[in-house]
Amino acid sequence: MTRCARFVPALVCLVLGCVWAPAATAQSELGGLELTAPVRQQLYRVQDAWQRWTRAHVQGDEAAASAELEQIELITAHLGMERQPDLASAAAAYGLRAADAGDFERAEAALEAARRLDEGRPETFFAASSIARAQGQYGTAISELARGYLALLEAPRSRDLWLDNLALWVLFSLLLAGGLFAGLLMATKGGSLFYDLARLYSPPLGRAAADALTVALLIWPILLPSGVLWLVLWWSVLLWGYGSTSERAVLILCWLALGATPALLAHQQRSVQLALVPPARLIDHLAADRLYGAVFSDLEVLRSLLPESPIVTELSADLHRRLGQWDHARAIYTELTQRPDRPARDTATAYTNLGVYHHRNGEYETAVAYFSRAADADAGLAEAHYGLAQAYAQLYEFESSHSAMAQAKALAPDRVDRWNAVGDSTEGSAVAVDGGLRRVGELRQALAELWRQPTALASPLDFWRRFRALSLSLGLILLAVAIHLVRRQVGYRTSYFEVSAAERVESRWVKALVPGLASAQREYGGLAFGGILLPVALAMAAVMRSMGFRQPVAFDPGPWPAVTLCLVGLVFVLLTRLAVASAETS
Amino acid sequence: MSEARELNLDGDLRSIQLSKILLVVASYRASGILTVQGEDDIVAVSFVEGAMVTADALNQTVEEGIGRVLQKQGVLSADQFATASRDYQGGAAGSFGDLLVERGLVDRAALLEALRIQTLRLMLQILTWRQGEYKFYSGDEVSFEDGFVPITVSELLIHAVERLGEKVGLIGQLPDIERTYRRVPPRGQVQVMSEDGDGGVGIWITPDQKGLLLRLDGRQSAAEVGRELGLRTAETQYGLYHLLQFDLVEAVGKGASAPGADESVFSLNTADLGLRPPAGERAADPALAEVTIDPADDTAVRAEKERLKAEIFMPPSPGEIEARKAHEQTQETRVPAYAGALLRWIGPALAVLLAVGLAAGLVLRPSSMLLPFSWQENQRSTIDRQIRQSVFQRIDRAARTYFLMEAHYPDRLADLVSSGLVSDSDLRDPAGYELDYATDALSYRVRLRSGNQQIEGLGAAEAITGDFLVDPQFLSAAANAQAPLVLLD
Repeated sequence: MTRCARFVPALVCLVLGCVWAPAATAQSELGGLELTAPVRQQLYRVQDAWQRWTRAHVQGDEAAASAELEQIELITAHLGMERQPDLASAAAAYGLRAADAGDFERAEAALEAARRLDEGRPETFFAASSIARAQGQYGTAISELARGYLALLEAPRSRDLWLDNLALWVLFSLLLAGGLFAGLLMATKGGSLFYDLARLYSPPLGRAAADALTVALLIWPILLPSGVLWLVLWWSVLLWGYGSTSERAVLILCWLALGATPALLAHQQRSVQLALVPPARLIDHLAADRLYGAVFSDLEVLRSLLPESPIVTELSADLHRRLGQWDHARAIYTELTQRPDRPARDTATAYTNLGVYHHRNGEYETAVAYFSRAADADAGLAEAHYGLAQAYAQLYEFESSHSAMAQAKALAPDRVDRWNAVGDSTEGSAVAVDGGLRRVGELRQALAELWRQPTALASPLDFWRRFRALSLSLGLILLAVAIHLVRRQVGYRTSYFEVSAAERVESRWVKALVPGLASAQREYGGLAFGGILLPVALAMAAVMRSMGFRQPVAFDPGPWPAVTLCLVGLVFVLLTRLAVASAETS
Repeated sequence: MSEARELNLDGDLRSIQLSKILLVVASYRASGILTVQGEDDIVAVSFVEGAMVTADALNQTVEEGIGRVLQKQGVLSADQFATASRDYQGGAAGSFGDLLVERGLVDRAALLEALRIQTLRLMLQILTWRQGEYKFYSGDEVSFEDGFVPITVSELLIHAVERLGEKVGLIGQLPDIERTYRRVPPRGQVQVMSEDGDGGVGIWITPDQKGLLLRLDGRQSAAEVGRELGLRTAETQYGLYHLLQFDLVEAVGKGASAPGADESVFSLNTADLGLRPPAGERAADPALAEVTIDPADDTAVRAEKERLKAEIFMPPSPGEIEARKAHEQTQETRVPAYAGALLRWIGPALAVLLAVGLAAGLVLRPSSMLLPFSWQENQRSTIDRQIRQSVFQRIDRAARTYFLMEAHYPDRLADLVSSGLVSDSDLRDPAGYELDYATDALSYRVRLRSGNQQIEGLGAAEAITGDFLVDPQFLSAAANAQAPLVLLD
């Protein structure tokens, strides 16, 4: 990788900025994809029908609203799609508004519209949950809420962001619990540490000065940038020698976790970037036959990011074809088949779609030629064999047709049955292929390459820069061991005072409210860390919403489900700890 | 002396040292049986009025222990022991000791002494246990060998201080009770076991130590005070040791702060055991071979028993000797009076400060929790940028939905919140900046602000342009489109 590679993300941002800039987008081009007048009019009719649905819904004319919905569904199907996610979200939002006004009948009608426009949309489930809650139907509310979150996990982009948030939550919880564990060690063993430090220089200084110097020695890292974290590390190193074997092991694991975090986050950042760029939304929606408002501008962003990519070009052709702009699509497919550097196998889908184009026009011999090329390029492409069978049938070459059909059935029996059931016209009997969408994996990989950091380690300095956090962790381990070995020669203060402290914490409330304290007093490092980790993880789950990546939805239930879960979990933990503490006390 | 009281205890040795349990039993002057279940053995110790009278281990019977001691002393041969043991297991009446006495193999005094040494040895062993469970059963019916001189807890702990030291949490040396001591202001609240309850904040002492503390006025020696209180020498010495450990008293006179550097502190604990160190021997010397166990002062027997004593009482290893010497050196420079509130509360106070600091860091800039170091600023900014990007996308999704409903963007972000499309937590910037929102109905811009200062380059701008569902220009272009020209053949 060269230095230029490091600027790629910046260049990408610049490109995105230009594309997204409102003034920079050419209206006539609608984001760069040339649309024919009939397609524009169809899109306009969607917009118009939506406005009429809005009016009818607000006026309570559900019959008119239903008719407009039917109109939207028809146009959407005509444009090669099945769903309208933006309109579904807006309809669900209307449902919420009606429920707020106490009009639950209209709210249900809006929800029904949302379901018709895009069934399985998370926003619809969330709205249904809110409406059910407003009606006092808590069982339904919880059920719809769960279905909403499941729907979120089913969408690749949302799932990726959810997993990224999960990783962040784990790291936050581990590191925060590690910091608090160091604090717990300070609480239980700090007296001994203080004593040992103070006695090193108390004879020449006197007690008061020794105390002050010891306090300064303990808290000086707070003056550094990110001082609290340095304080944690400093204390953990000093206290390492005072810990039991399990406590030392926990500290080492925490240091290593801190050292490994940058590498884990660097890996995560690429996947996050991939989930956040507009093309990710485009890929998600097109794969699910969703026609959303920004589809054309998102495609233009994708073309700006990967201008040379044949997959993106084929994706554009697929979109033209779906919208019914066959001539535009044919030109692009033809260009794709003529690229000399393209592997023959990758041209199979383009050849198939060209075959479909000529089949639709009644040019069956030409169609046979294209389908044959497609089948030669990719013998496993069932659509090519199926198209061949259909074209041969039109040419009365029934033997060849049967042979091709048999091959298609052998490759994909279920799909062939479905195509046979749907193909009710001669022109439409050949089946097109979404070649671009088929190579979404490669497309994602190509996008990921844009954000990939240079991996080559040109010099030891590069190596140091890359792994300095991990080096720091290893350094901490060595430092802690070294201090321990030196201190052992001088002698550690025994845990005399700490044992006294352990005995004095008899209050079950203190034991229950200070996570890990009881275990720390017994020097059970793993249990103490676990005792801290559990409530920390619960608390972090409640606040992750405002700290992590937001889900790309129009609305959701807000923070209350996570907060409720967190509170229930914390209460459960507290009650359990109280019970255990009571049993121990009694 | 306090009155005997009923006591019931049980717990885990991980949370409290056994020496403290013994002190509690002693301070209550309780009678009963203390069972200690460790990893490898179970030991039952019988107490009469707070002093130990027998100790029996599951994996090491009393007869084995006595036999081993007597063989080491040269009183009993291996064959004699084997025969007696076989006969005893064969069903001989009475105890094993009775059998030995009846057969004339040993006199009763030697038997009792061997039993005592065995009991002490076993107790010193279990004092080193760090894991296990203990339980004390109160009860007056405790059987023990007639004539057995009870071993006080103080006596045991004196041996523990000398021989085990820090291994059982007992640091420092035994003090010279012939010196004079005086009280010093306590660094914490002094509480008396069996008088002030069984737990809580404070420096805990036994009733005997309380008596000692109240009468040490810098005029009488500790030994004199102990005698006036009716304490045994061992109780006086251990009591003084305990009070010095908590800086409740200090020695008066020259060289007072470093007890026993050139004194025979070991001579003080010999009365109850019948132990007497030779004159001039240093008590801190780990070579306990010089310790005598025979008050008769017979040189030949004494030499043999010294050797035996050293072996029985598990003299410290060379490593422990070195560590103890190092510790003694540090003790000479120890900070006086650190047993108070400062040491007790400094750790918890610092821990609370740390917890507050971590929470503040988490709230102010969460990414600094994951990437805290200054050289990670780039990566931190990247994470913040990505989270911010997701915030802007969230706002955009909500704003477009709002537009589909109202035909214009919201006037303020608060409108999105009030309509339930976003929540306040969705609008939180990862670096803590304020979000400034401005709209002209068809487009909007979100800028970041810190106080009154705008942060350039980190905002977002969106418009309806290119969105066929809401873009009016697209709508007008399509509406004004000419009808397609149809050519007829």
